[in-house]
Amino acid sequence: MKISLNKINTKKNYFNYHYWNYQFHKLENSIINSGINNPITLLQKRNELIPVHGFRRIEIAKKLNLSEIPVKIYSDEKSAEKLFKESVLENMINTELNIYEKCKIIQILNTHFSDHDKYYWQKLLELPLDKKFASTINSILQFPNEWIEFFINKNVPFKRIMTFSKIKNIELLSKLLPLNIGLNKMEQMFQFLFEISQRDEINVKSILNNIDFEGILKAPNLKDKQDIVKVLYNKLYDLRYPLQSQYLKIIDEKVDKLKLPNNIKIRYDKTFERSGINFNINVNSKNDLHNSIKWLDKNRDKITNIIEKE
Amino acid sequence: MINPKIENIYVDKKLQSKEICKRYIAKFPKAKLIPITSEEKDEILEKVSISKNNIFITEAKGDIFKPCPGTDESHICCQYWVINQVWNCPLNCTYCILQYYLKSPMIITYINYEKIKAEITEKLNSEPNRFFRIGTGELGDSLVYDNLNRSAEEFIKYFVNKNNAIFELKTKSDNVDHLLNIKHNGKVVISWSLNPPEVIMKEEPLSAKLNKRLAGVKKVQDAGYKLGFHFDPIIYYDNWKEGYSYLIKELFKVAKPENITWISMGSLRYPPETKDKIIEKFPKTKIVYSEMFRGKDNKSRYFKPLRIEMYKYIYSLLCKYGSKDLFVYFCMEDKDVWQQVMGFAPENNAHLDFLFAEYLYNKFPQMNIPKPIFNNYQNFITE
Repeated sequence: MKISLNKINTKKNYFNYHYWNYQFHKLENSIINSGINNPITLLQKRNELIPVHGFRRIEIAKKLNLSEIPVKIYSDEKSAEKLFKESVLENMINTELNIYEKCKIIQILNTHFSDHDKYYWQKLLELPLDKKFASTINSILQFPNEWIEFFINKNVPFKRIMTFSKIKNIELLSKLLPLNIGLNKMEQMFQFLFEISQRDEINVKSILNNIDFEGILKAPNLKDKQDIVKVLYNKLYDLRYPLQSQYLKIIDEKVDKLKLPNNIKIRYDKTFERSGINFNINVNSKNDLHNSIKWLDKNRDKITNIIEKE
Repeated sequence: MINPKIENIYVDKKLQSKEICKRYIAKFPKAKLIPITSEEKDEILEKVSISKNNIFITEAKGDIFKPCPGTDESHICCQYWVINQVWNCPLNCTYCILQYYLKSPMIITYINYEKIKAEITEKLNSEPNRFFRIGTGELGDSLVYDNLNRSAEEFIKYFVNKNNAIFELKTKSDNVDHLLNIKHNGKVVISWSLNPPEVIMKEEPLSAKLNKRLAGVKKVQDAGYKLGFHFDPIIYYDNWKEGYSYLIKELFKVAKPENITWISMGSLRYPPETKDKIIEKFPKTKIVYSEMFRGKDNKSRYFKPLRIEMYKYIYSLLCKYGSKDLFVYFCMEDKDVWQQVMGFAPENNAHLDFLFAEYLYNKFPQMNIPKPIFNNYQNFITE
């Protein structure tokens, strides 16, 4: 059967779990060319017709000013759960659900159909089964759009989003997004922020002020995005590991003073668990060898001073 | 100490008439005594919700007497021996890895003492010239429930006549009154894990307060027991120097250095994967936010220069307020740390084992310890 769009209460969209209109245009073109072939599923509740399945088709129909659309109407309240689950399964067959959609589906199931088989659905949607993840599901749904898009674009697994969900007011960090930071580095920076805030009992805003976050973003000498990321990362690292950073600075200064020849590199364990220093000497000729030995001998005291760093 | 509660006492059906069950019921009259057979044991225990308010009294099937697992060979370990007669601990210290890696949903107490003693005897007889340090506090607190278990008494009586072993009971409790009249023949060390009051309050909230532990020290010292102390885990916090200074001053107001067998130092360490579990279980603790890095044995440890600073400071306090003649050793540290803090390092684990025996032989001649010979100890490998 076909009905007029204005008979559908599209404001009541509590079964809509879509975030990302990733096939919107493809679907729009298909509807322009062939119309809506697959009827939209509606639930009759008292005098209202509430959509259960076909939200994107309704949006397109509105956009194209279609006067009537094909629908299937179910009046049995109990069938809502069945219809919703069918809709999810159908979408799972046709496309890959993103992390927002998966979380939203769980939220809808928990809110409207409390006695559904939670473990089955979480397993089906490849979400962790542990109860402790419930709060993460809720926080993902409350993330600002730009962060949801970041997680979707980077295809971040649910468990790794947990690091991000520990930070309250994530929008304060949205200026990081245009810097094209990789997932690992971004995750580490969030971990530092969380741990500093817990350790020092301060909020993220204060930490960002401490490292002059805004100033670094606008610093005229940092034109390259990678330079900005490096400075931000190092500032957070120094704040998270102040003692180690202090030690590393002292050693770096000593190494700088050595003025190493090009063929000699120094490496050492930055946690100092393994004592001593590795000298990597690249020798291509007798002369190289002679000069390297001469240089080592000449700098014996300075090198000893670095070895006894602790 | 906050009195832990027991709600369910599971017991091997054939052991239900044992005195230990009566003592638990008398102490916890509201607890349910649930006899189970060996056949239904696994099925029932699987369904039990994880709780340290449950206890299971049973008999051990496998080996209970084992070398302390220590850590990998990058670190020096002391070749201690453990009697894993109690599994799990009700004290819930934030840093304790037992609660993260023991699979048992409850506290397990094995009471087939004759089997356990036979295991120990076999080992002691196999190496009569070796001096063994043996204790029960590896997988649980030795004394927290011992007034009900009465395991310590079983072992104390056993070790009284053993010349090549000393027995250690390790605790964070003050539960010692039941030990005071047992004949121990100077073969028993009662030792405490110690931390400053502020650390006890935040990280060991269910254990005995410092003054209570020190009251326990005084009682057992007066009863002639030898003493041991474990500054382990040493915890870093803002006022750690003041905290450990206060602790050590208070300790030596009570403990006489001539009664002390050994003192260990070890800083906070845990497998890295434990970190998230600690945060989840104890969201208020800050111990995981210190500067910690993965060590050579893959455990997270404080930044090495910080560890060394803390050890040096605590070691200097032990020498100052206690004595320069104390036997202080590290639990799971590498040679470099030994060298930097103590000015020497044992050559290997066997050497450290020998140093213990030599120290005790010289300090406590009345113990009749077989004279330790360095070369012999190189063959006494604990694996």
